[in-house]
Amino acid sequence: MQDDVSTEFLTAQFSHTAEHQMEQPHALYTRLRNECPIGRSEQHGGFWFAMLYDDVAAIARNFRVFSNADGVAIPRHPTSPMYPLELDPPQHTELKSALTPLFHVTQAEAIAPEVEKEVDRVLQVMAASGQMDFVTLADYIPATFALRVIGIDEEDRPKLIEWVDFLSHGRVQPEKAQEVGMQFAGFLVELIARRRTEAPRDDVISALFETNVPGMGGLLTDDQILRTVMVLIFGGLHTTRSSILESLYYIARHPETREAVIHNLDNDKFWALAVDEFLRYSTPTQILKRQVTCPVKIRGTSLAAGDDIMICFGSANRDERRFPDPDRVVLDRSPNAHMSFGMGPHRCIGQNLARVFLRSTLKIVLKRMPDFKVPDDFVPHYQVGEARAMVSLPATFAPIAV
Amino acid sequence: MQAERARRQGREGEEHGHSTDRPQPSLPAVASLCIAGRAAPQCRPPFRSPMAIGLASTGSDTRNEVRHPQGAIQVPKITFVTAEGESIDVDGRPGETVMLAALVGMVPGIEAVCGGACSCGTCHVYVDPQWRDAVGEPRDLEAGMLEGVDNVTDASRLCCQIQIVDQLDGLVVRVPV
Repeated sequence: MQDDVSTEFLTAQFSHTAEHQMEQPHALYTRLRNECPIGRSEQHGGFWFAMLYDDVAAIARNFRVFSNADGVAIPRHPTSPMYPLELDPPQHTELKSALTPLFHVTQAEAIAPEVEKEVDRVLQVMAASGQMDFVTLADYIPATFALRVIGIDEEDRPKLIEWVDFLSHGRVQPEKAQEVGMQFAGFLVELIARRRTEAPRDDVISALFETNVPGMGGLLTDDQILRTVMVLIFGGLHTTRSSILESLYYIARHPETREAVIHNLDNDKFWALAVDEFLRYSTPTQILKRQVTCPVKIRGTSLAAGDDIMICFGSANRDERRFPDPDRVVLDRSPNAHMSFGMGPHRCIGQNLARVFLRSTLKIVLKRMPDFKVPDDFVPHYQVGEARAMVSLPATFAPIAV
Repeated sequence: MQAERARRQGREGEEHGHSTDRPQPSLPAVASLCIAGRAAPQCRPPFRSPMAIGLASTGSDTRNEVRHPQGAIQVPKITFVTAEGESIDVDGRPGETVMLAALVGMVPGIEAVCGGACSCGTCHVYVDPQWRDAVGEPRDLEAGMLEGVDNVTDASRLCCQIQIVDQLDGLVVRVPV
């Protein structure tokens, strides 16, 4: 960000899809928080943005004034609306309540030992040479376990990763996005139709066949299941990868953090706070859209019904009014009401799984390769959009004996 | 009685003459969400933050507009009594939960961190004695969660698990200190 550029210009130019802004967005966020916390960008046909923690929280909570039903992304997802994210209460409440027990903290924690074992196995396989790109691991772990919980077979996982990648970051190319969206939807249509005819399994797809939501017409239709599974796949894959990579990179560059983590590898109390602090710091989903349902004033700025407003979790999570020393990972930060999972009724349903994936991965990486190094001249690059994720994170370490 | 209350609460609804059976959103002309913190220059005088953790009352005279965005529809009224003894009435909507009503009404002390997933315990309320039968007992998931919450009594519920139905019109719940 250039200091000699006017705030008006930065406000009008703000775009979550602009790489030059979102690769390192925090200086820009800080300036907007201080000088234009509620602003109007002229990009993507025009939208409002909110940068301060208190505003983002208030908007995210007030689902009656700020609706999700028009979608949460700009440009719009070709597969919108996805459920329950792009529904408002009461339909949202009913569907999400039916899904919630499948993602409860006890269930998520129950698979933690298995996740740790798998991270360990993967490291042994990939790390005999003493070097690897952590992206491989950060893709593999959530894909393996989140997609298994959902009910996607192993051979289908790589293409899903590819589609979700493109749909998260490539929607500025509308024709290609449409094409990829149709491939993604087509795959799920077939999968769901096939699974209807097969014996039930212990996964989310089977559970959805049994889910009765009176407000949506009773038992879910294939189309409703498709829209639900989509959002779970989006949420499950991409975001977790992003938080794993951002955390490992921070650890690589901050010896005192590395030391503290290594010292506390088996300390559950340490992890309970540390995981959420890494989540706050990384904020995989930087920003999402709401649509204004009635004229509303925020900080004296009038918004009209139908206006779009992007609420910036990435900025809210670094708001110094809420988090002292916001750009530093404070491993025992408490309270830490971060918004990396959002806030209010739409808060991430997979948050418990995400914590397990992040914690297990960090724990085993630091256990197995406590001395890992990221090359000094490495500068991270990011895929940008609503979600922000590091593209590559090369590391070297003492080879692990198999 | 409901109609009378509705008349008191919603000018807009009256003008538009809503009388449908199913609640239809009829939002106020201008809902105001002036939020405290470091105010922008054009901002109105700052209120105390309604969203701050350890929430205090906002003192905002515009809060009612946000709290009652429906206008004159017959809806169940939920009363929250805050830790400081303030009563906050919120229009509920059948199908939503008491927690969601608290969010819309910016009720201090209902943080609802997990957003209704029954996994954080931060929407804990005490159900007033005369309402306990109507509201019912917590089910398994919620009962398990309540075991980890402070100051639980027989009246404790996580209000994300209380579905609003017409029969709960007038429900009173208290926010723990």
